Amino acid sequence: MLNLVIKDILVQKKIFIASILYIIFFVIAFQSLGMGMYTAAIVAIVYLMVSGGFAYDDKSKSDIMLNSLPIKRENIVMSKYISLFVYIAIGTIAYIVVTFVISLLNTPIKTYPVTIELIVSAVIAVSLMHSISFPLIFKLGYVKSKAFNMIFFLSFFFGAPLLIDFVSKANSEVTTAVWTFLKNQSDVAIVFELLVLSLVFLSISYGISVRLYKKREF
Amino acid sequence: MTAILEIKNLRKEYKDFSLKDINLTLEKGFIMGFIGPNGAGKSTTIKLILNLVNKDGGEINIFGKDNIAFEKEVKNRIGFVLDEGYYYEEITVREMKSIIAHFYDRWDEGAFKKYAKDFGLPIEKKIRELSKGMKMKFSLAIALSHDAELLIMDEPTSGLDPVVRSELLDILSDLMQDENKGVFFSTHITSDLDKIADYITFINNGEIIFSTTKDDIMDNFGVVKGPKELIRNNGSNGFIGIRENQYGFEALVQNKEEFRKLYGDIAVIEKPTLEDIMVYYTRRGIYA
Amino acid sequence: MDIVISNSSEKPIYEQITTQIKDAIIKGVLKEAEILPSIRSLAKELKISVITTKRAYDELEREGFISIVPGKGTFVAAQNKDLLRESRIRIVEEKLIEAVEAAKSIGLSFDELLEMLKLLFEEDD
Repeated sequence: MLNLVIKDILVQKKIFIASILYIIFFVIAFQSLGMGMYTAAIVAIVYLMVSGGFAYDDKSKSDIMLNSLPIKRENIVMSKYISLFVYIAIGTIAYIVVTFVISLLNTPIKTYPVTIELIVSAVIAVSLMHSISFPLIFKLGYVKSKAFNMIFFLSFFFGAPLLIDFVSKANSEVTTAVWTFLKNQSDVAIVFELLVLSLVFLSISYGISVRLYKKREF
Repeated sequence: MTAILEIKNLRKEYKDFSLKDINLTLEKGFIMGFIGPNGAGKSTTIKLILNLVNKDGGEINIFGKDNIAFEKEVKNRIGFVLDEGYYYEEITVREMKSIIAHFYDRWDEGAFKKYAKDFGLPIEKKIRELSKGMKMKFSLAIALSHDAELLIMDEPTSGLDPVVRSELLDILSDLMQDENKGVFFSTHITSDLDKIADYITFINNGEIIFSTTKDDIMDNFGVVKGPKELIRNNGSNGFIGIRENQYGFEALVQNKEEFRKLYGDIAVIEKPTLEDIMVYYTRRGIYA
Repeated sequence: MDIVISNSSEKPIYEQITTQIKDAIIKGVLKEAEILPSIRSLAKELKISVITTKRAYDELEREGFISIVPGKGTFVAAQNKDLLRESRIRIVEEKLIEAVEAAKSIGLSFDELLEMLKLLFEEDD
């Protein structure tokens, strides 16, 4: 199954160079986000690489070949979920390399070092986003779900800050209760809980994806 | 002796086409040709065997095991050559092979190297640089490099020149020296099978018309040509795919000996090719 | 041993094989205990179905011309040459009876029939 992940990377040959270039672009473009530039960059890179992999599969209709081989459909699905973490890793390494180089040069570009919290925030964001888009892709195929996924990605990307803003201003009992609960936790605990929550989301999404992909016809 | 491939009452319904009551059996040691015109249901049947589409009823047993319950185990012992490779165009032959090789328990790298050499596969070239014939040979090399017992081929030779087709038949002949292997070969280019097939299953409009030994077919079927009065006076029963022209008629009969006894002196009887059989059956003429 | 198959002949392929092998045995081209190719390699060489070669071999075995030993191979059986020749002569006799009856039914004379026989015999050379 690891081979399937390797396969996705292999077919997107220029992936490593691309990630370096993407990071450079995002670091410059997201200057205003401060530390958030890392998370935003990772979310964007993972989206692009995941889409790239799916697009390739779709173009060559490789689902037909893969599903004729002795591979369980569960593993095909699982490999895509695992690739999320692999791409996060690749993006992170690219980020470290790029920010290190930038810090050596004397430019007005500000960069922020990677921290555990940042990585976790990236994992959470990526997990939440793809938990929703993956089942759709497995059911309809990449091309048919492309439009929805693009809109979803963009709204996620730009809408997340708005959502957070809205929630913090809202005044219902639920939000107050949640806020009280959160205020009483340390930052680490909150982050940990969010991580667990998003991994739970991811698992549920995996279960749904497998069910949908098993019924799919080629 | 367990059959290597056994299909019982297979059914699949689409909006404007359905596969009904597909029954066929292939014992090990033989080649079965699966013939029929385009759209008859050959590819659908093969997709059902490979579990690429979901069946609506019936059973498919490979090596005596259900093809879905034992999917991975069964697929490990199957080699397939489809009408297209469905490979990733941007990577090299070697890279594609490495990806695939990992999934087979009994991958034999030595065997692959030998076939690659015999076929002249350009290992370092990208898949998209290969000709159609080379892609088929690549599929074949892979199919033959993991000790597969059943070879499933779906229109492997369409679009290929006669030389490549002949080479494929030679390779299949070699393969069949092992009496534990079997080949299921679907095609609408029946001349490939005229010589090499042991069994022939003919499908049309989603139904099996007949499934029997090729010898049976060649010995019993006949293409008959005679005067029109023959049809006029004796009715069209027993004639398949009648075509009349200015000077007479031609048709297929299932029992040429019987026909010979009745009309041997006023009609001509010839040995049919599989193509004849397919054409006469699918001609919008009169069925027996 | 040479075996040549004609696809266009009216004679079924398995029969062409049995006839040619029988001839080879009778003429001594195939000697006693000589080993024959397996049904599969014969099928491959002649580019025909293995079912056909099996049918041919089964018939040859049934008629006592060959013996198939599982695990060892297929061999030319010990032949009683004279019996063989006699059975072939009987076939010629049967065919001559047919020809004679056909000739008589259309009023052909013995001399005319003999003339035809002479021509046909010479034709083959």
